Amino acid sequence: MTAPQDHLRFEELAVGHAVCALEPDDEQVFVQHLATCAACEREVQEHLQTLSLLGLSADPADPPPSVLEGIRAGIAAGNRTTPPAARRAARSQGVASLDDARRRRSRRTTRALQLVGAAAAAALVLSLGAWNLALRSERDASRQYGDRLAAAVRDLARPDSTTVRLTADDGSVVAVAVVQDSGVSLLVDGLEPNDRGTTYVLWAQDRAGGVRPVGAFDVEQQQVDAVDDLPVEGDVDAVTAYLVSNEPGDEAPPAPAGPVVASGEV
Amino acid sequence: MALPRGASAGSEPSTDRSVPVPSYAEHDDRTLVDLVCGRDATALEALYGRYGRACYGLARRILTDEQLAQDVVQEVFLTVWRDASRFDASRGGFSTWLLTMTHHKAVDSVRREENLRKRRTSADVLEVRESEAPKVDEAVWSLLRRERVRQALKELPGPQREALSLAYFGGYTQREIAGLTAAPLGTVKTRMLAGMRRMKDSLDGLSNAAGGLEPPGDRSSAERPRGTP
Repeated sequence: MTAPQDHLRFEELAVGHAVCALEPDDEQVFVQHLATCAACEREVQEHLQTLSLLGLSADPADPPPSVLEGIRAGIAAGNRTTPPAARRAARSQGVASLDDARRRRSRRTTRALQLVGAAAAAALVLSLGAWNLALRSERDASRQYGDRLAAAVRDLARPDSTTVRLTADDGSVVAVAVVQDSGVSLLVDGLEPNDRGTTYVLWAQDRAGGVRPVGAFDVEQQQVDAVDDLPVEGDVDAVTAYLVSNEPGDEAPPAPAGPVVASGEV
Repeated sequence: MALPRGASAGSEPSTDRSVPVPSYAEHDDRTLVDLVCGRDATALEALYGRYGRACYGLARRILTDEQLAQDVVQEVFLTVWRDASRFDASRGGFSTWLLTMTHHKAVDSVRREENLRKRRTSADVLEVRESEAPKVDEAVWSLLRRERVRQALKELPGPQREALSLAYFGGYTQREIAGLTAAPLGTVKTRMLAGMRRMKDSLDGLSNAAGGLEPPGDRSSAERPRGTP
């Protein structure tokens, strides 16, 4: 049991956690503690309630009609929203030749790819179920992980989705792109966690051979994970292939510069 | 009373006069969330009519950018649509959940848009504004509640108010606040805890109302619905 004086430290961290003001190291320490401390759980909930009152001290304002229209459009488009960071990354990038990227790849790309069918969906549902049982008691990070998987599974189960398997040079499937309307969700299973200072980038190749970034993402652990709601700018139907590269920095560069680690054709 | 899932404002009225179907505006938040879980888009619009102004007001205050604030509000309500089942009433009211989500997304956004914060001064963040003149259809309750919260914030000792406001409305981390206020990090943490506890005590009656935000005896509305279906 934590001594009262020691616990004061966590009570201070609880405020920072509730207000999103902790540094990553403090956040990690607190989240680990929170999973085992009912008192801190209560305290965080109380803080959130007080903070929501503070939030209401801001003058309310009428959002323009376009916000509600956007919500309706999002619902109509399959309940998806566009992550601003991914949207910004995609908007700011140009088009480059996929051949340039592929030349950097020291291995042959597997070309004939099959769509993932009901068996894959069932396996992912089972993964989600296993996750749910094993991690039910864990908090935010685990919840976000589950939400991502659940969203990806929902996307996968939709009749209008198209799936593209992305394979490494040894032919193993390391990711599955689930394509719908204007967006892609990516299920990852087998990509190595990327080093700090690097990021994975999903690219879309069009019929003309140009390639444009779809979005950047990190793999933190070698486990099934999902990246959802990556927007594809332009005509999704014109995309003929997707590939994943490992790039320096934390944003998508204008063109693939790092090694391509997986690819697959639609 | 539970409505059948999928019921919508535009549906045919009940022919059974002994079982009147309440309009969406009469539903409490939890019922509306249940309806949203059943993929009832009209219920989501009812929640938007109830809380959209509050969410937008908070996002605007944090972001000081209308377009980004609109993006945040849109994201928040689409998240509610996708993940309404994540709302756990045992952990607090829907309005708390919604405003917490709005705050988190706005803070994420302000941190991504670092130039926004560079344009702002600490004084901008710390300013405790007087309420704008209430619109004629705005509930008096909302105005009184807002005034009470602002008063509670004003009454905090300056350093505590400063630390909490910079974190909550400015999106600054505790370490950044320590730099901005030239105070040790430990002192910032202590000030935030003390300030938060004092705020909680000041607002205790308010936060113990149903859902934390709703006026006693009026379970259907936090902000007075505007154009609620």
